Amino acid sequence: MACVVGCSIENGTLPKMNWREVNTFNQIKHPDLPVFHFSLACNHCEEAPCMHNCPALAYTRDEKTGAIIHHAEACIGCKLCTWACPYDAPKFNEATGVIEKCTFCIDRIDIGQKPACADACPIGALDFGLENIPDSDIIVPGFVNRSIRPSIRIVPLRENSTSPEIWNLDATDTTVEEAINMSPKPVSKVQLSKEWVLVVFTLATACLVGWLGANVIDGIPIKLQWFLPIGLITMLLSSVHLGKKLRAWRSILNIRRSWLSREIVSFVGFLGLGSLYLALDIAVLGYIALVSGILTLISMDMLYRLLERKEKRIHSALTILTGIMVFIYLTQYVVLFGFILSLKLALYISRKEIYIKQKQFRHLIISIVRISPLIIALIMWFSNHETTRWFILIILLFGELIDRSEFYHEAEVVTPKKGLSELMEKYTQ
Amino acid sequence: MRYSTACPRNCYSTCSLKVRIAEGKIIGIDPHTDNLATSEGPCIKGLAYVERANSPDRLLYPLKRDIKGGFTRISWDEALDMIKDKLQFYHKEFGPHSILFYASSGMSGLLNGVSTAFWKLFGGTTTTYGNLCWPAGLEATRLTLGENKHNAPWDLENAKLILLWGKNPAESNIQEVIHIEKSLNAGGKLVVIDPRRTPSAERAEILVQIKPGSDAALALGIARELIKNDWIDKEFIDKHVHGFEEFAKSVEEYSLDKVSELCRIPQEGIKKLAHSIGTIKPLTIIPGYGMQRYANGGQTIRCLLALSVITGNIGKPGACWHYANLQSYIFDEVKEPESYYPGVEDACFRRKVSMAKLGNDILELKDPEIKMIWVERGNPLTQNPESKTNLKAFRKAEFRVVVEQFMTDTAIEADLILPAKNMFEQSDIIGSYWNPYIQLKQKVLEPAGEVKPETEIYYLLAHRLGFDPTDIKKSIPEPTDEAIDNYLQRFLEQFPELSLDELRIGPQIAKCHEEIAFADGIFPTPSGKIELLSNEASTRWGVQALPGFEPLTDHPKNYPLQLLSPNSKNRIHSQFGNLQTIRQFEPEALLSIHPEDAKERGISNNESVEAYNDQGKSIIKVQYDLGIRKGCVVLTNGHWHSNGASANTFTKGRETDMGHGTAFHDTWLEIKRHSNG
Repeated sequence: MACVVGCSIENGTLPKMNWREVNTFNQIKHPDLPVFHFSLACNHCEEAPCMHNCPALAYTRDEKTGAIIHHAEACIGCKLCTWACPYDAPKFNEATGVIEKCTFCIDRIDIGQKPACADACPIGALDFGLENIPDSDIIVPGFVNRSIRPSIRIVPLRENSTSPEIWNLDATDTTVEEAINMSPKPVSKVQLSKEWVLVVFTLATACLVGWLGANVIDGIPIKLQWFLPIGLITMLLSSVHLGKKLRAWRSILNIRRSWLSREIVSFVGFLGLGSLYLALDIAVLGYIALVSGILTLISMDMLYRLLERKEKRIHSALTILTGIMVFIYLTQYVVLFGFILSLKLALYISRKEIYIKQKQFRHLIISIVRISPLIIALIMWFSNHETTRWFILIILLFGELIDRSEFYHEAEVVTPKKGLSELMEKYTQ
Repeated sequence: MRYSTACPRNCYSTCSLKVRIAEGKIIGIDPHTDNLATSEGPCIKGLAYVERANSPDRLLYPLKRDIKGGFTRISWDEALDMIKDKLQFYHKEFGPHSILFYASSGMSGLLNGVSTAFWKLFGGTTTTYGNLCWPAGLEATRLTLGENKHNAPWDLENAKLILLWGKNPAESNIQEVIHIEKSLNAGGKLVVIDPRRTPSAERAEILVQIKPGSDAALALGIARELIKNDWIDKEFIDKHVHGFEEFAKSVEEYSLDKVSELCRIPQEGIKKLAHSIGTIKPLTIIPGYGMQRYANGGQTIRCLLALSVITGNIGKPGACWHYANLQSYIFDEVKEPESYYPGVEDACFRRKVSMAKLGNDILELKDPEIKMIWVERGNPLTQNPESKTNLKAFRKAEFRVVVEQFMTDTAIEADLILPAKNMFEQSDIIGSYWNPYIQLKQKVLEPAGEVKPETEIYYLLAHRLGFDPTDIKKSIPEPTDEAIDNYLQRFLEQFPELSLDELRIGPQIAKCHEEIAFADGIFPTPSGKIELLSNEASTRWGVQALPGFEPLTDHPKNYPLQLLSPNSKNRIHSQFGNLQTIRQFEPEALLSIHPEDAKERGISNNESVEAYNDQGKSIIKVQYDLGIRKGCVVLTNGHWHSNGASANTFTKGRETDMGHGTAFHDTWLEIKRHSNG
């Protein structure tokens, strides 16, 4: 931990806001497996996902050292980089409302010193220098995602270094699986309780796009005095989770690379043009607004692809699907409506299959609650009860709310801790 | 600005440091590459000096206990007058021995002698004998080899087999790992013998997870195998060893099946280990200090040392008994462990209480009873065994003065707290019990707040008490930097190769240092040989003259879990644990337990439990650990009671078989579920 402390002293970070962390494999010390540590901070990747995803252009690359530098004054505190980085390097500071992370100690490097962590290690296990990283080094157990070309080389202790042979006549026969079950689970960085705002924002956006689409294509009535306030509230809502709300405008700066910037820009376009279209009734504006809306939904869905999911399948709660569903519901294309509901149902069940296989029945009741609106809607729609149409919409949206919540709840961010925990699981097989 | 200094804690490493200062504040601690043993820099605690020196929790003014039980800031004049009055009163009414002067190992240095000098001028006090840490092993080594010294730390690189026996340098002596690593990279082999799977064991080929307290039996069983298979160094034995025949005979009873049963390790393992020890040369055995903190600790260490002796692994490169290296203690007239024995000091200090039995001894003292206690460089209410009794004894006294940097368990019980200097505020010379360097712990800052170094406190008190000014002049330096330097210079005069000026730049080695200890074959024992058979062991300590195994006998049946309280990387004894730098990694005391032991009691991971035995109880969170022997629990040393739990809640005040050490590990307890209701 001297590396962690060396870093925090050099950079004046607060305790528990450490830029560097030591991750341990087999912390519970299962006798069949080695115990080892990864001391990690930012790896200053060549394909840095934090920088690519940052909507506010708060990251730059230092020309001289190649270090990825975060600029607090440009950061809007959206935390997207904490999801994008598989090494858990960017840290969100609640007190300042912005991200902070390892600077590679470029000021020290400038005057010929090593970064503080490397200097602080009392046994010289960390070092710093210019090295070619051979491909043979790329696969290190528990060390995640080398495809983004992190500037770190992990040298194994010794060829024959494994866990010690243990002599103890009173040893117990605890299995690795039991050991995993006894150990605390790594906490996911995506917590539904913190992301409910995003659930509402994404769903509302999808509904608005579907609604405007129904108007543009099929003349379904929509009033400006409804559309604009709902849109504005939705937009305000989306900025609630920003650490620096007044800098929200910066979120559009990285339209070249960040799906978040694209989402915001297209959403603003959708809302502005859509309102203009409703106010002036110029059809072409409506079509442009609709295209912006569709782009918003696509950006949204692309954005969340950086989250990791157990099931590698198309998610039933994609906003584009919700948008289409609302659109079809309003325009009453009967056959298409049956199709979209069945599609969502199929996607949902296919996603849940993996949980059923893993015997995770905890969410079974929620799943039943989620799919029943789809089924009820299908039945009621085709039995053609005019009076129940609003009821159908309400239960459908309720179902979407569950699905979208699950979208966040089931999502995870790749972290070294999680990587090490998954590596341990491999030994149970 | 960067200055050279050295860490004066009671720790093997004794790192040389470079301290960075800006605007009168410590802003960084950097490695000091001149020290070959610690060239990569200090551990996490050394780095934590940045916080420790600047901590808002530091005590900066004299504090007096007020009526409400809190503390009030007072002036030095008031504090010193109060002490003067009390000292004069107790001296007059009950004699000087009604005062207990308690000092421990919180900060090493030659200036600590000033304290003794003051109390001698005062007419003596009751003091302590023995030591909490390492004396059983020191005495075992002294009885056998005549002296406590070992090869330079970097000589480990020459070893082909390293036996870490009960030592966990990855936490307690981190830089030793560098030298072990170098040996391993050159094809050396590492075996760890420990009831715990420590971080150090991770690098070993074999971890012998032995039953605590049975190490002597294992050593004797190995010795039997070595002798039986003729894996011994006959030439070395003939030339240097006294009592081999008797020893060889005595180990015959330690058959493989017997030892396997006592130590709970497989017979095959014992054979394999003996084969390695007998055939791989050179061998360095690195025994830890934990193993000798049992009632049988001294004899245990003698048994282990016998393995180095009969295989001839003494006095050669890579061949070493790596227990304690007192070669840098060049200024001491009487070295450890003999300095711990009652009767070696001036007659005025002849009245002593045992460090191991502190509370009970104080409570038993009559004519005079202890009326006043002075504590410096120590935190006895956390660190001495049997906390409850110590607290009772402490509270029984009428007036307590504690010199401290922080509000420790002991300070909080004081009537008067005097703010103590930190290591950056006064120069001093220190040695190391691991590396060979003499070092200057250099003054780099003026004392913070109203802090006064102990030497100044004593100087002012001596004048207030009206001691003879010529006496004062002789033994207590004036409170100036120049006077302190002169005081230190006097010690250096006998060693022309050392000078303060050079020490200001970095660590120095005295001329008498032996890179390879005992290479000359001189063993200062009564027989002039290595003594496996030691009459002094019998006459002085009443143990058998040969090394032998004594089973731990004090195990109460209703307390099945043996408590081990090893050192952690996060603290040095009870220091550093209060700092945020450390607390972020270890916010509270945890009791590590084998999951099977926990499950038998229906206790889940991270659950708060009640741990108890006859000495006391506390509520503590358990932490599952598959690396601990079933039947053992671990609570690391040095947690303050105010931080949840201290191991000494459960320990019993008893001495080790020799050396007046402390048998911390003869402790058993039970745990049960704790309901919050």
